Amino acid sequence: MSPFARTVSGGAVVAVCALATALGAHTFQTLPPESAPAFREKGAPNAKITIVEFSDFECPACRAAEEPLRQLLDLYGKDSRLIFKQFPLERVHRNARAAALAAECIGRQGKFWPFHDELYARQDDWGELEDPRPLFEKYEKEAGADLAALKACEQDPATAAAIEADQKEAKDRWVAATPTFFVNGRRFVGARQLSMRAPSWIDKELKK
Amino acid sequence: MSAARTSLPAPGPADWLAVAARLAVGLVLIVAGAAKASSAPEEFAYIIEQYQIVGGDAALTIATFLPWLELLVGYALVLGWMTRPSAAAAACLFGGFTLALASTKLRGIELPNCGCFGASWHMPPSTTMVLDFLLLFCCLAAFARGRERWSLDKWADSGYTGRNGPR
Repeated sequence: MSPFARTVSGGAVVAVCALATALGAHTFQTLPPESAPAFREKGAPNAKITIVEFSDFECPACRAAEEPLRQLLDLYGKDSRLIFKQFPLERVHRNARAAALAAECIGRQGKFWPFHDELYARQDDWGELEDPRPLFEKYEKEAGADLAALKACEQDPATAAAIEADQKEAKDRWVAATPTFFVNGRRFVGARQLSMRAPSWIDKELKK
Repeated sequence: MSAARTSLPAPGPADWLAVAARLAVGLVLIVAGAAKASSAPEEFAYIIEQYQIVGGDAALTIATFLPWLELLVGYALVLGWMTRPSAAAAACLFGGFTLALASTKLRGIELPNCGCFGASWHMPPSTTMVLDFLLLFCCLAAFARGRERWSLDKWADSGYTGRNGPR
């Protein structure tokens, strides 16, 4: 074999290796296991579509995204699962962390989703308060929660740790704005991207 | 030609270090390229945009082709094909990454991690800059002596200089 032929053959080997690696990586890509406490999950655990939402209860854009998100979950029904991740933007929203803590604790009593809806619906009432806790207590009472248990839970370092773990995950995943959604690993930022672009991506994923 | 047909001298430590440097750079590029190729280019384009150097279509174009370039250069180095141009290309890549990271530091842009290994490995930007510098030196070593041992280049050269002479 001539030196030129050997060089060309070598180049072909390099190209084939690169191609095989790229195709292999793309084909066998494994999505990171998406998980959260069960109370922050909705839908069938083995659903084909997993939507991970990084959200802040005090963020108006997150509130605006709730309706398109609900429509999406209704549309895909049993094929979809939602995981809520706490991403309070404490520098911008003074009560976001308190809301996240309250939601985390009432979630442990099995009332996360009604409280979640309540926080978004009444965001204007508590968002600018000096101390939102009395109002949260009112919502918690309305939801029939055990207030003593909630108090203990809010002081439990494990609760803060759960929120911080979500914040770290958001950072690792380059989440810079809320709400950010990952639908089977693909990022959609804000309500508009979610409602305009996510359905075609979901349809593609369901055909797999 | 006859002088060139003599067999190779026994490999010295410098030769083995150069081979190790070549393999290290190549493997890092393969891992980085594969990690990025495993997710949608839009995801990597999003990370590129956070550097605030390029945006939009340019970011997407880079996100589409950079993993391929990393894989090609990585395999070329691991297999020792066109070692010198590949080492030079790798040096350009690491130099570019270092400059991009340094520019974010200078402009006060806080990046959560370098984004160089996609979603699989989260390395702080400062650690990445140190690694990039080390890899730049490895590129120099690979450029200088990396083709001498265990390389397709040597195999191709043996068409001229191998024990059996040209075929």
